[in-house]
Amino acid sequence: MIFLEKVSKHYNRPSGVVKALDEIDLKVERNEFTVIRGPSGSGKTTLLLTIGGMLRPTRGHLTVAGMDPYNIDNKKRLEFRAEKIGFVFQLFHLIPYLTVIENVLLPSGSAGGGNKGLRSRAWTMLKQLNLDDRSTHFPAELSTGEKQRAAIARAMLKKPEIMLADEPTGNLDPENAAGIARCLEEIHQEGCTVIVVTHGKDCDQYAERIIRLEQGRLSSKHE
Amino acid sequence: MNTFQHIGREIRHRKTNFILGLIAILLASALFVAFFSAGEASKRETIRLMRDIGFNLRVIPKETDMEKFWITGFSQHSMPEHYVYDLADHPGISYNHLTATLQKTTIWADHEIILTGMAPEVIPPGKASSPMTFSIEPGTVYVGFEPARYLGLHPGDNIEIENHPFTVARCLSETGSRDDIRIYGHLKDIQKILDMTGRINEIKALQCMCAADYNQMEPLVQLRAQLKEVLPDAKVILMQSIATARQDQRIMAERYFSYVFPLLLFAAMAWIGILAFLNVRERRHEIGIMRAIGYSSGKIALLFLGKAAFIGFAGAAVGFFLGTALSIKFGPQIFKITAASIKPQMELLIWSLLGSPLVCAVAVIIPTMLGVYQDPAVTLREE
Repeated sequence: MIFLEKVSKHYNRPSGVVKALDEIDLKVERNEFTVIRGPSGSGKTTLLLTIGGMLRPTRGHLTVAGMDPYNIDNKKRLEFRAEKIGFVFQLFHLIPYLTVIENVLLPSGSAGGGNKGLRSRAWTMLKQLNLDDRSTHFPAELSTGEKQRAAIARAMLKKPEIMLADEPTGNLDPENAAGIARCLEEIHQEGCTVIVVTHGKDCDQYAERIIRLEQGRLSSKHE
Repeated sequence: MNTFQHIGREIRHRKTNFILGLIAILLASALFVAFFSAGEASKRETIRLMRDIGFNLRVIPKETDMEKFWITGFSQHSMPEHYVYDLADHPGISYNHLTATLQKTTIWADHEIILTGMAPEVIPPGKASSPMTFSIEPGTVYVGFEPARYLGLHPGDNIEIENHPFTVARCLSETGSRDDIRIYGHLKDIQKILDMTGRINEIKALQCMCAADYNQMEPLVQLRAQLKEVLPDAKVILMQSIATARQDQRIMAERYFSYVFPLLLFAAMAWIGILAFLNVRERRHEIGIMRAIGYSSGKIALLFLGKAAFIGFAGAAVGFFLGTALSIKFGPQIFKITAASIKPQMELLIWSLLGSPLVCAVAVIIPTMLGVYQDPAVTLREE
């Protein structure tokens, strides 16, 4: 499902070259729940964005859902992200002037096809994530847990094959963090490949594999 | 949710940004509309003044050397005398006074004088009008201040000019101009002296107008065109009048505005551009997440360009009514004659509604491009 071979991402800074990812080799199977853990600045987010087709690596080769997202034209890459990938971020990135249901339906205006039945799918997602009574609320009226659940619903709208979650529990209290971890596990149970990058342990109980990332290198792996 | 609904929601959410942009376009549009609405009134008022007052013209032979004309004050060439009657009889041209003259410098009594023959004034039939110049009887002359002084002439004296006897009917007082060396006689007498029977070299036409539709073309342009038809071998010089002064003033104001308006437009565009830049900056995470979930850069750009176009449209619409209201409210204090005719110019509304959204969209292109092409990976990592 996801295959990275000697993937590096370097940034040129005035102080010198920063190796955010340094020759990463990684293989994630279909429908695997993987946690990538590491301290701040270890390259977790860079790795996630690289897998998601949003950050071209400096070197190396990767295949995600059967294609190299950096070896296709821009339009195809947009379709790849719209159809194959679901993103969840620590700060939720909900659009503040849209209601919950409108935020969840936001991907319906994106590139690619598969937009039929999205409204009913959105309602199903909201019910599944206990947000159906908050559908007409704006993000500012939601708790942080509700915001993250809304962001997950948005990410899942188009039934992506891969869910990439960047510190999804980072801003949440333990109770809400546990709830979000359960949501991700449910998504995993539905057949989605889930990769969570985090420095916390909220998702550990559901993870089939936990990988440690330090200074841009995978330092250890365990099943 | 379509793009228009999306733009509408964002405007409702960030009202301040929208209102500030709207105010800039509204003011620019209102000033534009007010100026042109009042400008139209000014134009109509000038036309009305010209229609009522008419032009004061000097009609001279076509081949006149204008440098010499302005040095000597009259043409060195001549034209047929019947021109004055052709002009008077033309049904399409109205006038209040027509005077034909023949002028030439000559040496008389060892002094240079200007012999000036004056035909009886032609006034429109049935119109009582006070004479605008001398009415000289044949066989008599009016002597200018200088010849009268150095020859010691008095009314009733008999003189001879080029072997033609005349009686001095009047000695003119000092004018401090070229007229002080003139000797005025009846046109026929002066034609005989100068051996130029049937010739003149100037027609003065006062309050002259042509019957035409002044809404179609500038009055002076039409009058000149008609005179060219009636008097093919003559040219026309305009003497200044209140109407022409007003027209010049209007043209000057239009030229002034043609400099000011681009500056005003540039200021409004800069303001809209700055607001758009702030808006893009504030929405960078929104742009980032939209890129992440597969929105094309074109679709995202449309949100910003569409918003700018909407601001332009709304600003133009409100600005049109504000500008029209201003010109209706304050215009009558400036344009007293045509105050009632200051009215909404619907073509200005159309131009504003078409032009303003375009201008606003152009103003936000750079901030939009900066926003759309910012790296979403960078903004989404800003945790």
